[in-house]
Amino acid sequence: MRATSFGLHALGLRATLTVDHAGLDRYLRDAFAHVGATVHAPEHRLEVCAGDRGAGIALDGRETWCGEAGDLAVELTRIVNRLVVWRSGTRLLVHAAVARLGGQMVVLPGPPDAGKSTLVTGLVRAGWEHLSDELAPVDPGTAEIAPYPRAIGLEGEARFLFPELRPEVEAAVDPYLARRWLVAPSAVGRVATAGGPATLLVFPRHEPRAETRLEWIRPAHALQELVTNTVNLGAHGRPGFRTLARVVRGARCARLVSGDLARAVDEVTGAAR
Amino acid sequence: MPPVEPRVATGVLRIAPRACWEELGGEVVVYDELEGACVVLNETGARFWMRLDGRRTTADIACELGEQFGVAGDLVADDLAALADQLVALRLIEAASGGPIDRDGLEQP
Repeated sequence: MRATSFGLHALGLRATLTVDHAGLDRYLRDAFAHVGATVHAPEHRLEVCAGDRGAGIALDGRETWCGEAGDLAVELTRIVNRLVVWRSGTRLLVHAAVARLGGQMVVLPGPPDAGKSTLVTGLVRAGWEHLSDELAPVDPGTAEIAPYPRAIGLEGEARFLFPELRPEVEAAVDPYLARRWLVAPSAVGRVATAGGPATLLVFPRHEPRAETRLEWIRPAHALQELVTNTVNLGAHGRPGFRTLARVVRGARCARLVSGDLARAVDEVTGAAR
Repeated sequence: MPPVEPRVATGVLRIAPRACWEELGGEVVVYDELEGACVVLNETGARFWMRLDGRRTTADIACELGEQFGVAGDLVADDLAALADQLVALRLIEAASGGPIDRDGLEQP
């Protein structure tokens, strides 16, 4: 078939994504709809090739990855995130999910597998607005958090918790959903269009079968963890560190051990009230 | 017998230019701008840190804190010396060879 393209415009990233498979194009176009835009003069060109025995991704004309169809979603989001980090300009990027309920904005910083995407999906299902499931962009001037409504990546246990969020795709695209689903935030719930100051910082850690509990922590420890989870602090140095301290000063801070999603959602919602 | 290293941490100390820090809730978070590492100092450590002006020795600071806490300076001195040793090892503080370092990492006259 003839390949089709759509634009990706998020934070400082201006790219096009070209897909040579109609069903896969529809799936990715839907998943990335909230960062989709018409992009003139893109700075990067991503191409996804779907084959009988797997898939491949090229970045700016050079093959970057090829492998099994089921790994495509993982690799594509990894590459898009790297480009966003590279093109983020003046913004600090915290590895975190973000959601808002009324005037309360919760930032959930954590390393991979901390349960950020699952928790933010649970919060949005419970009525919160979605801002991000992966990166919290912090404005160095205001210390406010901007939305980054990239496709939410659900994998592992999360797919059993939210079976209704499985993307509707044609049979030929099923193999691409084997490891991770890419879900448009609007398929989960409400999507915020504007950012704001963080009022609650919760550092989640998923522990299967653990008792779910939220405990308040001192701001100094929250800042230390925020530093650890900021992916481009090295490029911002001292002013970036001060910006993170401003974020902490404006928020209450807690750790969350999550063994049960419904209880974790209740704990975070209760903490926000 | 190996040579005995002089204990830098017992002399006059100052905050290293590479260290940036923020005081939060009585504690201090120190960020190493070059290494990307971050440490938290508890309230006593924070009081010590705030007095690292390039003019006072660890013993001077121990006396001050001892008076504040109502205990003998000697009792505080060992703890502070151990903390100072750790911070020197992390290169977050250093022997004062000039003026104090301000919040922007610049040496003051």
